[in-house]
Amino acid sequence: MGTAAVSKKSTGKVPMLIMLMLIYIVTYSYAATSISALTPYIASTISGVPLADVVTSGTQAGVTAAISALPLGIACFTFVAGVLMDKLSTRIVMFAAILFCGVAIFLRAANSFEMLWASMFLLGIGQAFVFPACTKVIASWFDRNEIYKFQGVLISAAPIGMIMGFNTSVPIQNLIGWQNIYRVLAVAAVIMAFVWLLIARDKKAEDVPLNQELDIDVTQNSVLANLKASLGSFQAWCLFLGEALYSGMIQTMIGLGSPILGSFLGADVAAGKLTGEAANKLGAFASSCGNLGSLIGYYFLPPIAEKVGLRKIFIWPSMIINALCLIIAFASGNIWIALIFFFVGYFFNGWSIPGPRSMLVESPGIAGMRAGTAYGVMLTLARLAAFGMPLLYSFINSLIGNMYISIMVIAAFAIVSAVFIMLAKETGMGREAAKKLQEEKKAQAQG
Amino acid sequence: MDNQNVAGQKKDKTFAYVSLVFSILALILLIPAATITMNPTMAFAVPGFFMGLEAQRETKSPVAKLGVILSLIAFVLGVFMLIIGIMVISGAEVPDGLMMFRGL
Repeated sequence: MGTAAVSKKSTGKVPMLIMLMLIYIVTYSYAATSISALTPYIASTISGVPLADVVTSGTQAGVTAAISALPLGIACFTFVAGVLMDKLSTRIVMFAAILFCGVAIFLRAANSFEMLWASMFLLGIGQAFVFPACTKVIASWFDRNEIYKFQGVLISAAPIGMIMGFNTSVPIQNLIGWQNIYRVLAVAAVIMAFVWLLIARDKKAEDVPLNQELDIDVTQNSVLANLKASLGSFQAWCLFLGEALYSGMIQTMIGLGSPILGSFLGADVAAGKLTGEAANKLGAFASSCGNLGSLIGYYFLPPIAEKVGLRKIFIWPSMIINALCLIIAFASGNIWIALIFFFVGYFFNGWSIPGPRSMLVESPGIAGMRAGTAYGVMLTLARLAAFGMPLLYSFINSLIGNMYISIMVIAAFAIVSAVFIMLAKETGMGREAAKKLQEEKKAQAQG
Repeated sequence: MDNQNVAGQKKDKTFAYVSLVFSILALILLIPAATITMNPTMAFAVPGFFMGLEAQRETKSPVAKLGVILSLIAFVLGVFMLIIGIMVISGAEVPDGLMMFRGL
């Protein structure tokens, strides 16, 4: 409990958290989302086909294929990156990873589909190191009761970058061209790498509050010991599988979102309820609506869990609620109902997305010392599920020929995820301890 | 133990300053929010508000208070513009006064 007070002081952990958020936005969420919004412009420049004819000419397929190289790069290298993160200096590895991402983003401005694919794959490799580094920093610098909350703050960089990417990339492209957007982002990434080097610090395993609190033997930090502790733990596997299945379900639903909402809008345009232009604007808004729900959820739900001192009771119900909201949204046939349920469903991601990650590093045997290895395994499985579940959806859909039943089958994986979370041991410090800590914090703030 | 750690230590005001910067960005982004794509305002108003509250609780800094207030204003205006934007694209009647505000 004595470690709790560390959070109140100028330890430099908050600047590191803010820096991680900015790095996440520039090198991942904005860089990844903007390419979706800019697809017609990129396809037009590379292929030489006029912008108005890009959709009908099919040249967008090259850009779409390039986008798929990003998760592939992440999936291939996250495991290795996670293992290395626990053995090497997080500060130095992160510096190298950000520089690497900067180079990858810069290469995106080249005029060829092959180079575009290569740049996305390289960006995926860079990101494979950035994600476990973020988790490692949170697990090393923040107290046990704060991890959930600040994991949420860090993950909020994803919807911030996505909202910005969807809404600002086209207007900026009209001003400076899409290639210059990525040149500017690349320069920003290089600057951030050096700022990171200046402000970031590494923490010895024996000084990490979480390692002390969970009584980790810091001498047992070989690669083999870290892997054994991560892969040999029932608790860790419950969280790995809970996260992977939920993540796969969400990714499949995101993929289905655009065509299903598009069909609603098309029906409304055909019925004369909406103009074509209004339908386009609504479609753009719909893509940001879920992100806005997530953004609010990431900030305002984890602090509730922090106050209560529990984790599981918030995580598993929110997984089921989100799945139910997505089913209702897709089955409604109405754009407005769909938007509301997207917003509500994604709002509950505030508990369900950072939850398993926080529980993982709060688990005995993992803690801050093995956060990289354990999260590397978790993210690799999550990425594999994100590749596999859309394929499963296509298979079920082709087998039974009913899209809504297929969606329900995929959504049912949220229940399986919830069961895995229920099977895991509670890692929160408990109601009484959380209450006592809150009172101590209040007294310190007043004093 | 906790109190002795606090004594003599400077409290971290990073959240307070970031909150202020985010809230100003959120207000600036209200200008392009005259279109339906008002969400960039929210992307900064929500974290600005949260970080301001966190800093206010920890440091009682006036910068944090300003960040909270400006973020809240940006958030409310963002929601307001969103409602008007949705009314416009769904073909509903929007009073002239509101349209003028949206045009700002």
